Amino acid sequence: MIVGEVVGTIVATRKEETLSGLKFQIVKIINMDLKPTGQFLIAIDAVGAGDGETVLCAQGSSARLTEKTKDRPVDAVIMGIVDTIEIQGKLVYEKYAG
Amino acid sequence: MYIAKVIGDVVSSVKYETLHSHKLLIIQPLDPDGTHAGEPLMAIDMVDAGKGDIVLIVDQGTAARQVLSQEFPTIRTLILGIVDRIDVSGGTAG
Amino acid sequence: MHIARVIGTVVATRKVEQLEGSKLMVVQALSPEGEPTGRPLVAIDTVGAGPGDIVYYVRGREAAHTLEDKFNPADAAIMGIVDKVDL
Repeated sequence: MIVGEVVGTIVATRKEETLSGLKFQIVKIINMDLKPTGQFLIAIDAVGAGDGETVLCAQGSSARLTEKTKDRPVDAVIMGIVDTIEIQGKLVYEKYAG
Repeated sequence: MYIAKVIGDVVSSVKYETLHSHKLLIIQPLDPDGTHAGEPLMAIDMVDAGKGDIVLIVDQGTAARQVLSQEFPTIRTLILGIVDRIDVSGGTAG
Repeated sequence: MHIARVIGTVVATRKVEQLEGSKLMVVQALSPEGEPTGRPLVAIDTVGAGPGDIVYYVRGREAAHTLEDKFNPADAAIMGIVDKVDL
């Protein structure tokens, strides 16, 4: 899984039928030191993440293994909202740190 | 499938249950002309390969499901053969 | 499978149901010689690994098969702890 920040939403009225009802989020992929990698992905939201939240994403066929994305043609899913990240004993991210 | 060279082995006493009784080797993927193709990784040995052997690799869960007879494989990289000879058009590569 | 060092942990209270109870570890892939290669990623732990341990992990759908409910989106799982590497 990788970590990213939700930076936007995509709306597409005309799309493949089986994609209807899904929320498309734009996720800025970040390194574990929270620096942006310069890469983005479009992921289906399976947990109700909001703008600016730090999220956990799965990619590949695994992305289709949630109730929301089952049998749908997607390749990335937001599967969790990150509360904390600890690297080598140091808290590098805390959701409620203000 | 691709070919690789066995460059090392890994000893691991704590491992996931489906890996018990399997030998773990480190392989360096190769192009048919013998140049390195990507980073080394770990594979499960099915043919009693050893360090220095050129081997045949399958890197897909579906294939592992068949070979290991597991409905839900937790392994995807398997050594399925030891290569004796490689012929490519224009000559023998190794 | 790839060799890596466990460098940290991630806590996510809100996550897909199937991952309730799974421990999330941050792993940094290593070359066989022990040099970091590529970016760290998050993997579920199946063997009780801890920060600092040298482990190996599987990527892709096979990672999901380590959990009891096979229908889950985990795409990386720690499969074992390395005692020794011989090159």
